[in-house]
Amino acid sequence: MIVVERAPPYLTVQDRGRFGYRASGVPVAGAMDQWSFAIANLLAGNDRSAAALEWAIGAGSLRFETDTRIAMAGAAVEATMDDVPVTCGVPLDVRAGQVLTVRRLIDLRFVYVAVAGGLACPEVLGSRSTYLPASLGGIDGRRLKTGDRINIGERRSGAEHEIPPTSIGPAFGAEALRFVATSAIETKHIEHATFRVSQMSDRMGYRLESEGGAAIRGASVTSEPVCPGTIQLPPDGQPIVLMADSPTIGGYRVAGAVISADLPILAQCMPGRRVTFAAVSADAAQTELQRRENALMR
Amino acid sequence: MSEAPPVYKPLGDSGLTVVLGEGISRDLSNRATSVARALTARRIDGVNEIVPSYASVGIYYDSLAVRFPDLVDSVRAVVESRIENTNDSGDSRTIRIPVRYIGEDLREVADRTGHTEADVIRLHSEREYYVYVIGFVPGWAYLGDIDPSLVLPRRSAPRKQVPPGSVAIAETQTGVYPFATPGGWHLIGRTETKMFDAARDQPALLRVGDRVIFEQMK
Repeated sequence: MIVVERAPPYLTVQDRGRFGYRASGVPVAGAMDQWSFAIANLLAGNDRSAAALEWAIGAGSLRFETDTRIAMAGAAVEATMDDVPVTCGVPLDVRAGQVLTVRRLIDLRFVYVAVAGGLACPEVLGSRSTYLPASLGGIDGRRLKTGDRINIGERRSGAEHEIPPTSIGPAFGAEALRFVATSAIETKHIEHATFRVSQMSDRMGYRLESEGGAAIRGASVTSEPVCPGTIQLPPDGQPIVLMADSPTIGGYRVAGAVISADLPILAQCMPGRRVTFAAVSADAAQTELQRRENALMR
Repeated sequence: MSEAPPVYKPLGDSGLTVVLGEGISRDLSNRATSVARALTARRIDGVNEIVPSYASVGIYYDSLAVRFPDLVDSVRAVVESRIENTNDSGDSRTIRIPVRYIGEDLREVADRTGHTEADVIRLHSEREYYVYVIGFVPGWAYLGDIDPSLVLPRRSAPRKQVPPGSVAIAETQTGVYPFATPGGWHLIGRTETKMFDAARDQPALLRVGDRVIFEQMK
């Protein structure tokens, strides 16, 4: 059992996502940064898809009521286990009663806390991911609050996963995001502009403020299918990149979609961070994703 | 009637959109649902989800299981064999949704459309609507078309939170808010019917292609 001793402003249960219900309008949801989420799980000795905590914004603490192993990945943190400083990217053996306190996330938006055995809240439509607008998954489909208790699943036995080197993962901090273009005209505009991630960014989508280059005037169109990564061009000229909680359909012109391998980079961008776009083929995007997944499955 | 050939567009590295035309019409919607059904029946390797929209179909696939160009070939074969035969209406159902017409905007809608409130209620509840698309939030169905005399643009300032179960209209469409979400449509009624329930096998009450009748509860 984990007890949320002091909830940070934003803490939810996430996993790989909820698939199979888009025809009912159900977004995929799941971890915003699927790479760091997977790494945290592997470090904790889990299958890469086990449910874990997605932690953003501020300070908080968790108490572990059983001996276990945990790991953090994603944003670097200023954190302690009881009074001993701890870091991301390594397995941490925890004794019952110990308290993990995260004081600050550094440079990136999200840190993932995985626990051996995974979080064992009930699956809703095949996933434990929290989707706030419809109160699905996690604990009652909401952000965790102080006093919440979360069950831990059975610890996996068997060989430990090899942890892929950081060099194979997303280039956090890179400006250029690769995308698969949908239409040639918008692609040119998008490729020649620079943007900053707006304050108006959440799990549904990140707004981008155009910094240089010609204004990209988009349009409302007949709604078409969209997915996480889709770059929408609304009429006001400020693109939106849809993220994990992306709706299933959208009514703005689409320039393309950020490739799965690079979506974690954008997810981790704090407001104000600069981004640019570079077009690649769907085939190249698939090859890149394959390389990542191979590294995670070794 | 001549039709533009379907367009196959990548949606990142895990999606493919088949665009069958432009705009909103029953004809296009029938084609999209028919194509979606055919693709579902074909069970193409690596394809996980098939989602019809107004004039297009979204195909979501496992990027590690199938390469995009191969997927386009498989999908094209199904779509093209289907185009000649778009008359099958599938298993469309008629769903009745009881409504109490007590929405906050009922009076304003009546005023702005030059009707009495009773006329608005009658005009809204005497028609059979068609489910064009499911989306926006889980279980939300875009239903059309409403009586032309009730057509109004969306509210200029969307509400931060609309009560769940609100029955609303905007432009040529009507719908029911399944959850407390922001919303810019005009609220004319309220229903107890659950538009979305994660405990159901099909969590959304409505499917694209269904017919809907709103029944006035006194």
